[in-house]
Amino acid sequence: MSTETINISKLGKSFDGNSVLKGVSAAVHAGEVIGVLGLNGAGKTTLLETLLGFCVPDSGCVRLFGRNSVHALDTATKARIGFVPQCDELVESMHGQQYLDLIAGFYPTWNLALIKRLTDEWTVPLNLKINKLSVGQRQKLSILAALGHEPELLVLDEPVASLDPLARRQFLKELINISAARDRTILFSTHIVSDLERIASRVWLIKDGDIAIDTELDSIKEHYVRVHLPPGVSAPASLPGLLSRRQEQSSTILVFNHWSEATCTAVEKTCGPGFNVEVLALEEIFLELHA
Amino acid sequence: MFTLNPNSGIPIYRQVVEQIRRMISSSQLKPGAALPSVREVALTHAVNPMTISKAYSLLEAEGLLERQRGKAMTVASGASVRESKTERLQRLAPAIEQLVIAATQLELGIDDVLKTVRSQMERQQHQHGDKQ
Repeated sequence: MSTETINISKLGKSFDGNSVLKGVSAAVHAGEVIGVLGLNGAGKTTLLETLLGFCVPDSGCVRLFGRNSVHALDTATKARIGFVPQCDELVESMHGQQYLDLIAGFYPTWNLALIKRLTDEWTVPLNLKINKLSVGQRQKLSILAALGHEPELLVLDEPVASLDPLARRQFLKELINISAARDRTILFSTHIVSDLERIASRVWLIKDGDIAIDTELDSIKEHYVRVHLPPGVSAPASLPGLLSRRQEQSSTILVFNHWSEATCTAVEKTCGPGFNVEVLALEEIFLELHA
Repeated sequence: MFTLNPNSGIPIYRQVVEQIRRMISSSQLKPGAALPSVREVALTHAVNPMTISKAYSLLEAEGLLERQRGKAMTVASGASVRESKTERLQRLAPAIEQLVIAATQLELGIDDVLKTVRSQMERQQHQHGDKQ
């Protein structure tokens, strides 16, 4: 396996006595595209900001490119990271172009041609003052500011929340360009599950202050199914790989999180044939996990 | 050349594998035919390139595709083995099962369903013929 870009170990963080991160551990390898999902308030933003060192953890540690990020990162390591925060940190009184020039000045290298191309494709009005931009235009500018130095690690906290469908698709294609080009790593949180299904290679589901699921997207889809038993047929109390069950009118619905040929055989053996297996889109899986 | 639905419960790589297999078994893709590059497919469909290269690699391992250094992935010369009609019908079974469930729920009769299937297939074949 390739080198570790991020290593998170037993990360803990509380705000006013409320534990937001409860000992989170995970590793991210170069080239991965990780989509972070979770309910509002699950701890996504806290996790992203703490792992980048913007927020000091109460316990545990994070290594970015092998460097401890908890105590200020060195400039060289910072230059390998790009971050788009959930609430932009643009300078209201500047024009878009002035702002990009300012950011470019912080980095030894800045890809002007890339930013020029994206400015045109995404139609970002750089001649306007930032306080005159719409929320979506601000978000685009904020993304441009994070891409110009071509970071090896790109962290985005709900980058597309205010973008229209066309802009979202353009942005996704740019992420694909980035991840296809070299061993570049992307970590992004979103509520738009259908975008995540397009570009994530792995999913983190944040629940109750921890990463409840850390799995390849393909593997999640293969292992989560809903089984609809024929009306009147009941299921035994325990079945291998069963996540939950519920009753809808006279039919029993079983939700599995470890579906396989073996579980299929087990269901057939105990419940008889005639059941219907429904594969699930990620949004449905998300809902089942929070049911 | 692919019809991908990233929001289906079937992983994207499986959709690609299945569609290439079908096109090879029906000779729509002949030995030596070049496949679009991973990057091209990923950008066209706005999906992660890794899931496409996973599909290509699986088919390569199965011997259906060949990778030539620095060139496009092609359909392997030995991949012309045409599946029997029974095998091809077997591949259709899941889709037919879905159709049957939907038709039963809608209380549609066998004749009406078959008539619609027939006319759709005729239209499809007609369009396909026009293109060639």
